[in-house]
Amino acid sequence: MRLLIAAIIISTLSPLKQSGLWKGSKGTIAFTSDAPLELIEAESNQLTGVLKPSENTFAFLILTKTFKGFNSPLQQEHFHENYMESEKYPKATFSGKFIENVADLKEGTHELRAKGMLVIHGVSVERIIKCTAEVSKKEVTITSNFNVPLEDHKISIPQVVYQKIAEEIYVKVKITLQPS
Amino acid sequence: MKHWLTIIIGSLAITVLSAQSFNYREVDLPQGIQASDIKLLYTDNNGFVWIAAKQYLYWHDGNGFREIEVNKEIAGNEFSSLYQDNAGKYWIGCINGEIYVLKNNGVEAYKPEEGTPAVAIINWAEDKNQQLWMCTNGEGAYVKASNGRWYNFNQDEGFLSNETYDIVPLNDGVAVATDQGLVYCTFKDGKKNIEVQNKSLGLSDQIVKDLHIDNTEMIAAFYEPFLNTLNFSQSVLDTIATPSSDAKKILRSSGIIWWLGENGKLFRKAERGSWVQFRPDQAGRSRIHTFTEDNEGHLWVLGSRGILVLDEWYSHISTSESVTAITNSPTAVWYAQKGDLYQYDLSTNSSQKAWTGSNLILSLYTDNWGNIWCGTFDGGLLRFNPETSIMESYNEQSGLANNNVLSIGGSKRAIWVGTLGGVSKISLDEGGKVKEVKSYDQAHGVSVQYIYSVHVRDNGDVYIGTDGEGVLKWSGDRFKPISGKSQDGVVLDVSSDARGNIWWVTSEGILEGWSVEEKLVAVPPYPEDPGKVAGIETLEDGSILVMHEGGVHRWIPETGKWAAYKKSFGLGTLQPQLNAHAISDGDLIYMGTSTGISSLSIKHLPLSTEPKTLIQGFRLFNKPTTKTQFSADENYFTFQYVGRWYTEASAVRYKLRLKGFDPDWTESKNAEVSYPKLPPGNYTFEVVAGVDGNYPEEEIKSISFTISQPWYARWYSIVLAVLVLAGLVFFFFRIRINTLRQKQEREKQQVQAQLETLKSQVNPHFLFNSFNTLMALIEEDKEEATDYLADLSDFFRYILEFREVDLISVKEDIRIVQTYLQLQEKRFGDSLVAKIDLNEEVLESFIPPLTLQLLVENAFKHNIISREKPLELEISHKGDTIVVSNRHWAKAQTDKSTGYGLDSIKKKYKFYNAGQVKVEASTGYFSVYLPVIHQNNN
Repeated sequence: MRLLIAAIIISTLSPLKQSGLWKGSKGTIAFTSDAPLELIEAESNQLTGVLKPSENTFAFLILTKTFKGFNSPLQQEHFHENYMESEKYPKATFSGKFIENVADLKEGTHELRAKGMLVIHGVSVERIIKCTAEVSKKEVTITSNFNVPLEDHKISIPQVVYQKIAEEIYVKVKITLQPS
Repeated sequence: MKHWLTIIIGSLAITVLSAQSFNYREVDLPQGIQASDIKLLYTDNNGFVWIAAKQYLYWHDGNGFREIEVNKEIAGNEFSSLYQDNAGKYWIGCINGEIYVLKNNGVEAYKPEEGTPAVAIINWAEDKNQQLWMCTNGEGAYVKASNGRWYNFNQDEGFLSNETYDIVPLNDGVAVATDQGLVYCTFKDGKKNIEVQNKSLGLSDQIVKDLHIDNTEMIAAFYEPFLNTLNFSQSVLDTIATPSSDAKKILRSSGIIWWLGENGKLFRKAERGSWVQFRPDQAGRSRIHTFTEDNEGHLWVLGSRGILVLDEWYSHISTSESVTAITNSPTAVWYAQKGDLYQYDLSTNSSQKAWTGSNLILSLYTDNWGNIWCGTFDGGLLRFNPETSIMESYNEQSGLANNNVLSIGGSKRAIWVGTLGGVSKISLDEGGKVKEVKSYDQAHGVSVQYIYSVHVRDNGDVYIGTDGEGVLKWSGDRFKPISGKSQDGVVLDVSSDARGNIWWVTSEGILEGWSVEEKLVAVPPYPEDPGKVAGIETLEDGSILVMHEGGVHRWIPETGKWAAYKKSFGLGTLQPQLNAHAISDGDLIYMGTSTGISSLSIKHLPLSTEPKTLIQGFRLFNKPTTKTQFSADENYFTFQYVGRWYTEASAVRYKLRLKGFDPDWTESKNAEVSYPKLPPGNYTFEVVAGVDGNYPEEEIKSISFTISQPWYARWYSIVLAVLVLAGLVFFFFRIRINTLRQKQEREKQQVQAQLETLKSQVNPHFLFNSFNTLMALIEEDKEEATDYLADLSDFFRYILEFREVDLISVKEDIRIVQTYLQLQEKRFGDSLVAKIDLNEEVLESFIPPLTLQLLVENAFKHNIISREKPLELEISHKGDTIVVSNRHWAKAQTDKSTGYGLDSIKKKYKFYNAGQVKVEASTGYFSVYLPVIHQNNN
């Protein structure tokens, strides 16, 4: 009986109650630009992320150069040189805190809202991004879909190509974090 | 009178216009500013719209944005919030937490002792106790207490989260939106009170992104796609789903909710309507960043392409044909084009033809069961059932007064129609089925055939507007004039307000009323000709809307004023059809026009269509001044004012005057006036803005000021000058009087001296002695005696000759002395030794007459003269002084001396200012020193 109670207590305890950082480095990030004339898709599996449950904070980072899978090398070149200016702004980051208390999360699937500064193209925008966290004893997998309006990040699209690039880019993210 | 029929039937213009549900226009941005530079939009207490762009502030005066000069120290800072407190002070919050205030048309840093926050200031609010609050993104909220100090409300003391989104005044304190719920704060007598409300306490979400508060409720917008309406006891009243998640801004105005998402999409929703997106760019490429509502009911929307101003009061649904009749049910607007009946669905915003007919439909009515009654031209009365699409027909055969039905009205169980041949009543049973059709004509008081309007009140009272008999009321068995006696007006439309006052409009466009107190109410016509009249509607607030060609005019009995909704309200070229209007829920009024259906949102229509006047600049020599007292040389004044009327800024005119300079009003289009070289005085500048020559008295704004007199014209200067003058006059007279007195004195003295001289010269002893001498001489020597007598006579002649003369030459005076001495020589012989030794210069100088003689005579008078002690007399000079001296052998008893002789000489010399006469009596000599008088000026 005691064992059972102990087992119940243990199973209801949040795995994220453990102190320290949860880290992940092989996250995937993919984006889609669905414009009237051209569909652009690219992805990277170099997304890194850190979670500090004791402070409810997080940070994610991707090097824009690592995006692959464009329709053509020319498209990729335009992406880096004209829009993202990857040489000048090599990183895109999102860091901040969760609205919900991560440390209280039990095993299972939860909807979370991450509030923080999204920095793309060197321009910071405060965002609240909804994500799903799958919590198990040993890891947390975070997935999220969100839009990035290019205007917010001062990514200007020349009038000539505006039918080729969407106003908003649709982004899909998935990353698994483990305690370190 | 068939004239009106011609209009009804003849005005079937065909136009095609694309439908639009939002009216908006673009606002010119300041030079060098792009939409992406603009960070905030704000409406101040006077209704002026402000923007912050880069490091500049601008406000819109109706014609364009005006820049506020900012100091250099502000450069680099980005404004995050702007607020005007109740005292009129503008507060500016920055991204970095710094605070600035507007001062003298410039910006100045505000540095409280406590320091400024280190994070962005999101918004401001003022509570009932005039305490200013601000909320921040990272430090919670701050309040400025009455002692001027700032107090912080933060997470450590139960404030849910330091990251806030909005703050509004609520009850005695404020409500703050945070990312962990709502926080209610009060600050009283130095005591903080915090209450919280979050998801577990009834809110739809933790993340409260924006708040709206009005007279009745508070609305919270969340990250999750919901709104909560709350009462002031913080109970959630209602939850409304929003088009998407992550709200940015929420506003409710005149029953319309505006919702802006972080995704840049702006939606509006009427109370029972659905969300409709405002998409200024059909391609949807323009994101909307923020908005503000001004005091005239315009929504100023900042999009990525610029600023747009939305007018919510008007919308137009275009149709292919003229809309001749209109009615509405809760879900749809029914309208007629020619003989066809259409249904405009309010939820889908689309039109559908419900019935095709051949007779022109002139009137429509929706009964209690939702049936649509159509009054036609020459086709009688039709009843359409929307559910079954069955059309029933009633005509002259069924008992209808006439087949031309101009107007339909009704109550629960009865439909009344006005025709070209009298009035008919259609009675209905409980199920809405027609029971009976009855008609009323001359026998029932309807002496004219044409009935243009039928109005049935909820209580069943029936009023009709007739062609020439005014308004008649159904009395149970017949129609009677409402005022008891018949009138002769052609009444086009009749209506009544909630109180029971009856209102109607005549074919001349005159609005009249019959009050519940049974009095005729006369309404002054609108100042300008509004064009042909098409009908009236009474509104919930008791005002009356009159539809004209030139727009819609609203008579507000409460204020006794007209409000005009014209061109700028979208109603410039309204072609309303006679009696084709309907009103829904006291909000939207639908008008059938020759181009479609125009609808006006009554709730959005401002009650006052008058500009707000503000004097915003008072300049002295073209520099802003706050003084009201000026010196005489400060005399060049400029006034800058503005009539805020965003609705139609180009129509704004000003009426102004400068009391104290010109009491008459002048009209001007300019927003500035200068008065150069104003003379000293008291002045009051008055200005008021108006439209259509209509200048609202209560908006007159004024500045009073005084220009002082120059110093020399002030009262004390004048008094001083008078005093000085009086003093001068006084002294002048005193001197003059003194002079005169002196002159008089001198003359008196002179007279006295002459008298004395005469007296002394005619000394009886001298005369006696002389006569004795003469007697002796006559015996001794006759010839000598003759000479002596001649001398004596000469001497007296001299005395007479010179006594009136002021000065004579010394030479002449010596001659007198010599004559005198010759006379005395005869008597004293050797006992007299006289010596006169004066040079030519002295002889040429002047002397008061007989001075020397007087002195010589004195010598005779005062000395013993004998052979042993002869009188040694000498008249000589020492430089510029004549010396008369004698050897002094004092007599034991002298002749009585008055001492006057010597004294009068001294006085004479003093008077002539000729110097001091010195007398020396020593060592046996008596000498008198007489200064020489050189010029005979006096």
